[in-house]
Amino acid sequence: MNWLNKFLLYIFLLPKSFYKKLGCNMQHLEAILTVKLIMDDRRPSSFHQMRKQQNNKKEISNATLWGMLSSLFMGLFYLMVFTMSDDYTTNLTLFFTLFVVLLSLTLITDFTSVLLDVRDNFIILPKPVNDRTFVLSRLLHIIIHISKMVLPLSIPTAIFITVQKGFHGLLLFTPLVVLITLFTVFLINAFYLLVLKITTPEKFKNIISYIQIAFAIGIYAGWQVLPRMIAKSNGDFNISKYKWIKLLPTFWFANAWNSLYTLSFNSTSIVCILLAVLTPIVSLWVVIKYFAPSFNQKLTLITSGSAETNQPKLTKENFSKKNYSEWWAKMITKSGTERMGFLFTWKMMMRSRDFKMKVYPGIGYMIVIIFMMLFREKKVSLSEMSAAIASQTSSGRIFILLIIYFSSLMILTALGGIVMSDKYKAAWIYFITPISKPGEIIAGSIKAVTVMFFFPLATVALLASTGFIGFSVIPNMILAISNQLFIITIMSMSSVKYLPFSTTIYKPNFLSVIKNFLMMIIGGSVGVIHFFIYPHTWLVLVLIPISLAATYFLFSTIGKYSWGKIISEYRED
Amino acid sequence: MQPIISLKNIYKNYGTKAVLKNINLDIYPGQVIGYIGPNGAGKSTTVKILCGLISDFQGEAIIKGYDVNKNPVEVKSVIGYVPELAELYDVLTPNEFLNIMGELYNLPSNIIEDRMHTMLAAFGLEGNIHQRMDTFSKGMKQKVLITSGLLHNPDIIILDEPLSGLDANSVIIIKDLISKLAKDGKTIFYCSHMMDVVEKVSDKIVLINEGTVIANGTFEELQQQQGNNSLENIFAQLTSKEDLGNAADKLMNAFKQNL
Repeated sequence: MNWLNKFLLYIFLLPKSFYKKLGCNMQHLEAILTVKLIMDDRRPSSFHQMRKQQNNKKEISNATLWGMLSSLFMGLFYLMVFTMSDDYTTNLTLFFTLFVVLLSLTLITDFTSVLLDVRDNFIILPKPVNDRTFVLSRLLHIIIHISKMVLPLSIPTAIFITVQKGFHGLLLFTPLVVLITLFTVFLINAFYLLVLKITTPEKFKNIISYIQIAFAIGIYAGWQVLPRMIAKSNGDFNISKYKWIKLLPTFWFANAWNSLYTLSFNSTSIVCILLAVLTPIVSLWVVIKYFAPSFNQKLTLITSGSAETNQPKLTKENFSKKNYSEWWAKMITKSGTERMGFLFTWKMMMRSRDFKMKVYPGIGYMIVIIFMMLFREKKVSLSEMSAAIASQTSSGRIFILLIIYFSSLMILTALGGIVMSDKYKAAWIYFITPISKPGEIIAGSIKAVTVMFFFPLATVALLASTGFIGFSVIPNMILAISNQLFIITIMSMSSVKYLPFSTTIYKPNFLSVIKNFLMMIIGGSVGVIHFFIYPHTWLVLVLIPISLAATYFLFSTIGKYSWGKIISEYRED
Repeated sequence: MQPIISLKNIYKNYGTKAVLKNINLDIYPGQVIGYIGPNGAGKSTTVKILCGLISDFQGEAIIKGYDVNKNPVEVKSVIGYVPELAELYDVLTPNEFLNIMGELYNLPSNIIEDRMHTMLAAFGLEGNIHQRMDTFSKGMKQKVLITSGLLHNPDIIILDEPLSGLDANSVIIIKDLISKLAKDGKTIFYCSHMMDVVEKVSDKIVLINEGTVIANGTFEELQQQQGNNSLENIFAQLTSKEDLGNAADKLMNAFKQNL
């Protein structure tokens, strides 16, 4: 155990005589908390979970310290809201909102794995530990865990308030942080109960991972957008002028601070103070009285995930989903190994949590980047953009081509994802079966990636641009799509060297980084060339068959890969 | 009669460590071979060579007339391999998984469907055929694995600890299945640590230790060589350096020291 945990443990075990009076066995309490804190230290935080999979060979230690440092970093970042406006209610509303969002997103993903570990039922409960000790250990663990986030997240702001508003500003701020933390715990509980009501435990895990993905993308987007928003506002932004803001709980807390600090009360501020104090207390009572008893039981369901709860219903919807991929498989793959590779990859991409966790955030970042690039100029509004597209001025052309050509970056992310799997050992099936051309499997899975990640986008782009501009755009769109297929093919040839879902980590070495970079340059230059020939329809029409033929020719070489051409190694460990 | 599996002078090193040292085996069709040995003796390395998973070994491995290194695809199509507690793509359903396996063995899809349904029904898994395997118990997964190994009706079946996780009823089914497959002319290569089962199902027992075959014969032949013992005791005599009774005594001593 490192100094940080020792310190935390020491602090929280200070009221020894009080705990003893409660009927608690101190030796047990200390032992349980020690082990919990050690485990927390070796567990990747939800913030780093996605990164973990890239180097999961490395042992995790000091997770607490890094977690607290990253919270502190976020806390410093949050200081930015105080430049938004001169009005403290506005600033604090923003601060509290960011605070609640980050805290609840983190805790939602942590709750099952850390705080209410069902393994306790098998490890601690069979031992002679009394109930009070057990309950207290759980409670203290939850409090320690939450403080590890709340303290570093709020300390920068606390210091800022002390410096700017004096010591009694801090005195008001501290209890509000405690209250809003309680309120967040209530929100998380409510979320859990709601989700468990409407879904099965198995799906619950998927929902958690979607939240993690959204979380990562949201933080990235916030990182990109917030500074720009602040740069735009000239300090006269006042949140109180919006009527609906009074419904936002974080506004109550901010308003309570402001009116107590300035000692200026009106009907709104008194209601806000009451709500800020009463809501957390009432919600805490609700949690203890109604949520907690059934909570543990339901969480046990999440982690065990019994077979009976997962009876798939063969509904119409299920069939139509299946038919969609099978229809594509029949359309674009040869029967046999290639079709198998297509359907296998399709199913794995649809279902594997692991794949989604690796690929979706990357795709999300790309979308954020594209948006930032398109709307960076303040002048460009949506209506101007659509006018530019309709009139096919050069900025309109850039917009259309950018969307299509940028999709290759997303596909590159997905292509990197299909070779990796937590279940890489399951790849033995490729090695014991008589496959002479493993390239067919790879070709099938590349087609699956293309259909899943490129075709929807291409269809939307085609329909939208036809709607905006008319049929005259179709040759250009077809050329763009065909070029994109060509780019996907050369990217696959350089980056997909493994069988689908057959390796732990896709290690990008120096050479492959250079290769990927080259691919992007090639893709980009194809896009630039396309931009210049865009107005010459005859040239576009001539280039379409050339592009298609080149794609077809190159792609057929992938299907001919022999065992020697791919990186494959049967491994059991 | 031609041996269906023939290993000649097989050597295999992992780095500097010699795992197999001069393995020679001839196995004939219709035989059930019990392949036993302590942990790390080289059992799974042998199996991997037979299945064509490892190719960088010295010596010659001929399976049904094909050299494992020269014709791996032909060899793989006559072998059915049931790995020990293998990892599965468990987000798939048995139906999907077995279809993939069947495709990889180049079976027509109607045959896959027929066999899969019949075999899973025999295992009592017909109700689970469209469920994802991540909710399956160890035994259910093992049944799917056994089905996947037999789906293409192979001539040689390699079973690596096939009974692990199975309940008593399923164990009876598998033992029965092994003898019926052998009667049908299939060759079965059975690796296990469960000596009592090996004793009962095998026609011939091959015991390897530290990369060499140290005993090879029927159970009766082994008994003649090593005294009228159970296979468990014969195994201990041949592979253990220390008296195993001592180990238990030492464990018991742990309590006495603090008294």
